[in-house]
Amino acid sequence: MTETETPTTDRVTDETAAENSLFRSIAEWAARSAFAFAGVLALAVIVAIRRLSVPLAETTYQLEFPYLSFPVSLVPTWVAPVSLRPEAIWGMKPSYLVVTVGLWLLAVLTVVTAAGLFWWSLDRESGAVPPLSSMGWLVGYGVGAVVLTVFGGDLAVDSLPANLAGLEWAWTLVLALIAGRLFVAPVSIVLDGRRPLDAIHWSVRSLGGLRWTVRTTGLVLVLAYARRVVTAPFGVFGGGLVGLGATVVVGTALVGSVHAYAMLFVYNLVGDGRTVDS
Amino acid sequence: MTFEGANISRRAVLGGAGLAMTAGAGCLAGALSPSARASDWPQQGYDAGHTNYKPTGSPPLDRPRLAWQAGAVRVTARDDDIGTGLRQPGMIVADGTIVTKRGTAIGLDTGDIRTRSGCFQDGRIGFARTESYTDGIIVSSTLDAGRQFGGPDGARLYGVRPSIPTGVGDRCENARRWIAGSPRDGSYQYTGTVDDGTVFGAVWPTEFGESRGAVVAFDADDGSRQWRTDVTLDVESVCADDERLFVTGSDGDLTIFERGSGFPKQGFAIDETDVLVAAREGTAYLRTSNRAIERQEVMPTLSAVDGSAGELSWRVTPADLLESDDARPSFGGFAVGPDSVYVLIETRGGDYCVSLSTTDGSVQWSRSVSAAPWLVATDTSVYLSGGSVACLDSATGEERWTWSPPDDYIPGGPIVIANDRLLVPIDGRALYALEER
Repeated sequence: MTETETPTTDRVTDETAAENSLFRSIAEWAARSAFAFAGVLALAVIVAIRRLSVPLAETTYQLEFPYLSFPVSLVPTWVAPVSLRPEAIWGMKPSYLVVTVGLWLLAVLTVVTAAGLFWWSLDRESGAVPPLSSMGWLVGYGVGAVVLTVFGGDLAVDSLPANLAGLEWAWTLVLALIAGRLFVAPVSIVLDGRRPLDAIHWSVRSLGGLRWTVRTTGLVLVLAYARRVVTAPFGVFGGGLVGLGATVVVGTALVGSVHAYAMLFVYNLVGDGRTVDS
Repeated sequence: MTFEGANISRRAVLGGAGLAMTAGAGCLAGALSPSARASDWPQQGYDAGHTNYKPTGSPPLDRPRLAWQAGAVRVTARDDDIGTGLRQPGMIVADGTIVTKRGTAIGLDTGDIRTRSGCFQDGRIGFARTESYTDGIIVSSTLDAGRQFGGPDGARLYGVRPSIPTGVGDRCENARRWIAGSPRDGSYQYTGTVDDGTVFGAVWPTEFGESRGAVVAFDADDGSRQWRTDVTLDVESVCADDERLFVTGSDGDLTIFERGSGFPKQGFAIDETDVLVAAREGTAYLRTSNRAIERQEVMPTLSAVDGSAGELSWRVTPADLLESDDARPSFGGFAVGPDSVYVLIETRGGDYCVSLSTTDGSVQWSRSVSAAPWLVATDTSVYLSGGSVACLDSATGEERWTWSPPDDYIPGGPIVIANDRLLVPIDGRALYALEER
């Protein structure tokens, strides 16, 4: 009996492993395309907000001065030739405010989740299923990052008197430095299971020193600039739905993936990254 | 920035997303805010037809008294453009606040100056109520964009939140909610007229090779384009009634569009020196521009065109109205009520206010007046300003009262009816509010 059972068990184990492998392969394929799906959802969000008659400021590269600008982001984010500006929210009716901000956050969080799935898919040592708890923490981190950039940049700095407008550049540099030091924190949240504060500490520690600070800050600025440049097709296509779709979906898939990959690349360089210290 | 092909209704999005995110989120969709008040004067000429005729409110009928005065307020418009579509509105009143063309906000009840922003230059401003905002929106053809553009940027049409920045030096662009049609409807846009929920404007042909202008309707909430119709003219004046949009330009045509779609209904040849001054209940009112009169090109006329039939209803000259032999009379302020047209005529022998029948242009009454050239009207009265302020009985033309400021200032600038107040500007010096004694 035992002799006959052993091959059966092995066969079942093999089948299970094969199924897991297949599932993992499909999941990996889907996860690596996550930024394209996130781009599609972001496009739907933009159209929906637009249909609400909520103003979206156009930020297409070739139409907005200064050409050399850097929308720094602490996490991989979507490419949008139009943007919901804080000025557009002032005075909004509560129902519109809730729906608009909710839709916008949905898009942001989808892209952050896509980044998490992307990192998970490229990590051979991760399990067959994405770590849901870590993904949740990543989403929380993403919200914090958006709050920092939106409130710090758009609200605080943009509210300065006109004669202090030069501080915008200072803020961009400060934000780039912050984003540079935190460059691998979100990856660590997903792959190491760290909580956001631990991941931040770890990232700041791992990327300490002038060399890494310069490298990652430069990388952040290059990625931010790329995010601006790829909005150009929106203008080329005349600002219609086709141009918007092409820009958002393709741009998000490209820049989002490159941003996420760059984070993972640096993450793999700076340490073993496998010590869960939380 | 209209995304064609995505035909989802605003209500569907709000309702659908609202169901998912917050119970009953879509309930408020459709209501325009802020609530309309009897004090509102949202744009040049009061309404979308620029009729200068306000049926609501109760401005002083008997001898008035000064309710308050606000100093150093610049609101005067250019006299030579009075009554034309080119006129710069001196001020608007919305939601209990007066906003001047320079962006100074004044409390209507007390006359206290709330802000002096300097955000607007001498452009056109209007106020539109909105669905998505509680406080509506100010539409302006100028907005100080700060150092980024090297100074005031007057090349576009802006939607600005009414709580404009509080002082000179603040960043006015932070009060901007939208740029109309952002940004591909051309550089040179201006407000033609504002109606609840919609801004009708024009795009002038640009110096960058765009040879055609356009008439455009924008959503007041977000500045998105509702429709655009290309035209071959430089649009000079735009007026609307409930169904039609009337447009005149540099080519000597009055073009009538369907208000909702922008579809051109018909064109009507007019004198090249004529300008559109008002529209009401299907009729467009035109007059000879004062510039042409000053150049002694033509004898001034005032005419009415039936927008339904596309034909001239009547045409009159000052000589028909006054039996005057003045060789160079000119028109001043203009108002159109349901049954009467009120017009000021300036001659070397004095100023006259004339009431005409809207039906055939016949004279109902004519009166020599001491105040000109500004004029607004209500169901019961005609108010005049310029030199002094006067109130006439709208049915008979009899003078009810005249008023002069307690100092040596001379009233000048477009007057506004704000519920029980009559707002009288003095160029660069003060703004007076008169009320029933």
